[in-house]
Amino acid sequence: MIALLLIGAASFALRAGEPLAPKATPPDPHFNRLYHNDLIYEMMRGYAKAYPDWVKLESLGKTSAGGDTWLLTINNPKTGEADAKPGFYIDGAIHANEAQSTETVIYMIDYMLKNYGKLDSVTETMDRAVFYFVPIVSADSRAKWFDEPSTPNYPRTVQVPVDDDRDGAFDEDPFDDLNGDGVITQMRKKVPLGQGGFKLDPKDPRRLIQVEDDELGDYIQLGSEGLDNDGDGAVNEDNPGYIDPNRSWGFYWQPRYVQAGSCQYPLQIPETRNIAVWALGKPNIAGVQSFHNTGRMILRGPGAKSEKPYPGEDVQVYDFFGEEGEKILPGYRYWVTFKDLYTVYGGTTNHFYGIHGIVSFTNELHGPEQDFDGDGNVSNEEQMKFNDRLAQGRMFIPWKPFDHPQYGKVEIGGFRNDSIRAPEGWMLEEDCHRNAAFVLFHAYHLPMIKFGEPEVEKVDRSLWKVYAPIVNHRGMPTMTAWARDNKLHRPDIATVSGATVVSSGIVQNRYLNRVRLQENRPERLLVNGVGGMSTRMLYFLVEGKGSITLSYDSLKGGKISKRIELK
Amino acid sequence: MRKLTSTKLLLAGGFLVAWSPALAQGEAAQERTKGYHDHAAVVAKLTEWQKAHPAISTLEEIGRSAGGKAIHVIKIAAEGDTPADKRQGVFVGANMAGWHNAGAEAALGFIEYLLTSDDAAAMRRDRVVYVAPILNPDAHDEFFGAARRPVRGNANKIDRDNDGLLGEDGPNDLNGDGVISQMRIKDPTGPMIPDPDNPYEMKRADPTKGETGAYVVTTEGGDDDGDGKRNEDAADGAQPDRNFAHAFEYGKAEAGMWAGLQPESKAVMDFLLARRNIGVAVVFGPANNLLATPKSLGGAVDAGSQKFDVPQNVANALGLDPEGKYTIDEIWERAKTLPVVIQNNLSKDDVAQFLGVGPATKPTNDDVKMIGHYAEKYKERLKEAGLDEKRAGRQYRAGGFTPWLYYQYGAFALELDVWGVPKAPKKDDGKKAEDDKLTLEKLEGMSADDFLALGEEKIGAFMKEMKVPPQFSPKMVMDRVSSGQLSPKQMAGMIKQMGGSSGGGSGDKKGGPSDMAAFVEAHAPWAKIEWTPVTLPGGVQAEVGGYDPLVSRNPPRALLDKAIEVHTQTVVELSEGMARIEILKTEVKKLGSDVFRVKVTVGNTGLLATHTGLARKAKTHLPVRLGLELPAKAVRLHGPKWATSEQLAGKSGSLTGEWLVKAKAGSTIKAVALSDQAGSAQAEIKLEGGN
Repeated sequence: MIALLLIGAASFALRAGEPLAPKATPPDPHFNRLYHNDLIYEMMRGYAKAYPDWVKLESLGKTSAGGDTWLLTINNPKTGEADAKPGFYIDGAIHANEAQSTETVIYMIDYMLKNYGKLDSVTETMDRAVFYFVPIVSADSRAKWFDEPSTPNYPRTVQVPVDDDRDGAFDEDPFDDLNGDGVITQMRKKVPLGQGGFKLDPKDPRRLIQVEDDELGDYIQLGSEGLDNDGDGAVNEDNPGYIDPNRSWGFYWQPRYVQAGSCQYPLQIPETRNIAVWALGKPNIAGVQSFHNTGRMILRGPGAKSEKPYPGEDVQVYDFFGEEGEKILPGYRYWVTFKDLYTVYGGTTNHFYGIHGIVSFTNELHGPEQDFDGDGNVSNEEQMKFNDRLAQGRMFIPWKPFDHPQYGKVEIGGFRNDSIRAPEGWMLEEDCHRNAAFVLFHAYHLPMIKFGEPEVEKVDRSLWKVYAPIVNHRGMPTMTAWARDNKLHRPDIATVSGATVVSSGIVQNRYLNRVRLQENRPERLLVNGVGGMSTRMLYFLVEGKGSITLSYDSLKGGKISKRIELK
Repeated sequence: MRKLTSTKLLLAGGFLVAWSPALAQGEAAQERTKGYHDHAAVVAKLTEWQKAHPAISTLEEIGRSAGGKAIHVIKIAAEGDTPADKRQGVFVGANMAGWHNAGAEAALGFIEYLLTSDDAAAMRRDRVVYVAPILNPDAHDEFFGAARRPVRGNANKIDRDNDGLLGEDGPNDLNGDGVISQMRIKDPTGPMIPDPDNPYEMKRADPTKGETGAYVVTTEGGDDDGDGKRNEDAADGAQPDRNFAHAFEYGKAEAGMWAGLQPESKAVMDFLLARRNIGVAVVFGPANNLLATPKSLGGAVDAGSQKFDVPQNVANALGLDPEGKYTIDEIWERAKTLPVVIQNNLSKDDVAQFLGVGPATKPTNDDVKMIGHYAEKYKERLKEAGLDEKRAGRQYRAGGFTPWLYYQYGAFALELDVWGVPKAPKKDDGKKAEDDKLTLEKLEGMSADDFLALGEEKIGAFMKEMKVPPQFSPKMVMDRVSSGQLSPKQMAGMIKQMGGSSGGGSGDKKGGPSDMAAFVEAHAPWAKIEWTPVTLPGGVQAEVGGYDPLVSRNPPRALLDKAIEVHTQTVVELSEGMARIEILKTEVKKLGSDVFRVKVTVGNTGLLATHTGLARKAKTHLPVRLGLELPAKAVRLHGPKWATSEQLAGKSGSLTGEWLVKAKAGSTIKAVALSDQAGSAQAEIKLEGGN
């Protein structure tokens, strides 16, 4: 059965895949704008309708406030069952405010489906791997980001009430859209000279600058738009949310006093638990990509110093993708989270690597738009210049006076929610494409195992030595060193049928006949994976006649088998 | 899978066994479990009790085990002044470990006391008590199984040897006695020899005493899958008592992938997290925190003295050397004046988090002190009941339920083992030196004069043995004892607090029966399993025997009665000691025609603090909040909405709030104090009086 499938796959691969013929008009999104969840889901349904044999849509469960965790799977049905192929998991919007991470995932879905049969590398990857996409992890809050007054940073977390100010009331002092413009911006106030630490920038009164040591200030910053709703003397101190789904995962999770935003135990919230529990049943997943914004980074773990360091063999694999990624994504930096950014306990990619041994990246999309003076830094002034010269003022809402019940006369204004962390429309598509290309590069290197030419040596009448090379033609190992060292999943297994296996082992040096024999159960040889771009030579001493069938079964590298003549 | 049966093996081996398993088996099987309740029996009992006491109890299914068995909590609370869910809550949970069936019995005993005893009237009225007698039902029922052994895992089977096959090599009941016991195989490379004093025990050969190892000892069973290992994959499930987040063991399959994945741990956490009124939690499990003070489970280093690497970009912003290492205080000194820190209202805690300060790893000093207090009372109670108060207590383990209750849920949480094998009566074999040796126990009972009479050398040796820090010299101690500043008993207490040897170990048992042997001989002869020859596949000769492995924690049921009484009383005592906030003082001073200064003090009249030291540190609960409720036209001119305290210590802690209120003279306002775990209080205050 497996053999038949493989033969089918092989013959299919020889014929170049034809472009997919949609059964209904597929969605045709423009990647120069952000889409509300409803439109994203409509697209996902559209792809499933247009390519029903290839695209499967399912809900992994409900989210905190009643949304769904929608999963879209792309699998080429002609090349086998999804679960039998190496898998790649990609998600977006685990932080709801990081909205364009969703468009980046949709871009990839759209690009792959529409370029199958046209571009060889896409075709080949889609023939041999299965792709799992969750474009919106934090569904309720991303909808809220569009539907309700929000900021570039809010709402970031899930819609589970948390008593942030620990006064016994939940979410009782949120932001308030005081001027009713649909956006939460900033408040500032002019005060008598000497009572403030800021002054207007003489070159641009939209900006406040800190006064010098020998100056008096006449402005104060009052933070985000809002009131002291609960009369406790603080403004906006208990917003809806603060369970951060990207601090909720199961690896090196820590409670809230150690890791702000974590829940009460790992994966307590459905947004991430739905995915984590689903992934337990997908041991074929060998690559993970999570999209965030902002800052132009390709991040890998460890998330915290207290995690064990990654084994050198795996670091090499990470570096291969990370360093190439920096070239695919100009301006992006390949960083180690805890060392180069900050400590993250319970992050997505830490979970997938730490618990499952999967090579996983987090990309921080976009970043400050333009460094006009080329000094390597985008100042606030340059940000404003970009708003004026390129965005024609779209990003910044000018200051307008407002009569605040607690602060008196204030001004309200600032950057819109869909600026700063999200690119302007005309910049979005390129960032989507480059990031999709990075994932396609990683996916191209999912393990691809094939038999090399076996060698058979006759010992006597019916006793044979069989040397069978398993060659991994791609950069990812069939089993990471981390998974091997921590026994996170079973090793690869080689079995022989058609003859009695007297002994078996792993060849360490073919020429000097050094073999590490497996002491027991030689008919079931356990193999600690095949490294990226390398060969694992298997050894069998068999007693029999005619031919044997050698099968190799790797959780993340797929299954292959081969008939070998004993002669 | 190939099953090995004793008959086949005996025939194949051609042995005639002196001891006939077939005859004794029936009786022994009855003895093993007599009086113990399996899951179905516990559910029946809970249901029956609830029906008999509907006014004071409710039964709730809080979840299902991996094997689909219901996990129940019975809630007990009689009518009282405060609605049940607002009272201080006590939680008792048992047998999360799976093989600690005695714990479930103790929970049942406690429930019965609480439902039926007149002595429990006050507790029923003033508290709400939640009891979960079986938290790991799948493993619990293995106690009654056809081939019993201590099972810790649930029904989420794990490929324990990671070979892609599930359960292909579990233990086998080779002698057919219904127990998986020990198996010894003659092997010149083996390290073990029969213990000449204890025929059912094997001991490690000591070459310095002329002994040579002759046996390999394993659990009973063959190498079913021919992989060269015996019994390495029974497909035992994930262990709920290792599936909690404090000191969780990553990369250990039996710990259950990640904390809270297993249905048993998730169910009880969800239940408890929805009830923040629970201040005291007692777990009946294999550890005993009152016989051995809980120790650190390791993990991260505590913050404070810890030094951190600072990421290059942050170091540049702070003007620090990126190559250097800094404490949080040093970093905060620089960071607190940065505009980004001020504008975003970042605290020292926020900065510490960015840098990866780890969690607390040991109980706080105030909590340890309180544990010590209850330990003393507990031991007295054990002694009075004729139970061994000197036996060793085990530590709870990493990822366990009890450490979660303490470190993350924020309760004053203790694990108690209910019963343990008592120390064997000392055999006087003329070793006077041994008797003369100073122990902690002896120290506790000593007068100051007796202590001083030991002399500096002996005291010094003892202090060294107890690992007393070198800054305390014997002379210093002797001076203090002689001047009356320190009693020998206090000294013993201090050594215990510092984690010195508790003296609970069984010591050198040379020449006499072991604790286990003495106990089994006297109380559970059925637990002895005669060494019986068996033949393993491949013709290997072996013997199966030893003790029933479950008896060490689960004695004959009748022996538990006294222990259950002691533990019931211990829970009652903890309940009585719970924190209770009360308004101690109100002061009103008239400042103007209708302006008053109001000062209110709330205190804790209980023995326990409102928040444990750890709860205070981890902010697991809301602070004690003290505020005013004003009539419609009154105005709070100054003073906070809530005055708060993260902890009011037992008996001594207090919190004072001060306000300026504008209200009509003669009107009445209300002071309200709220807490999660220590109740609430209020007082009416009349605004009147002169200045």
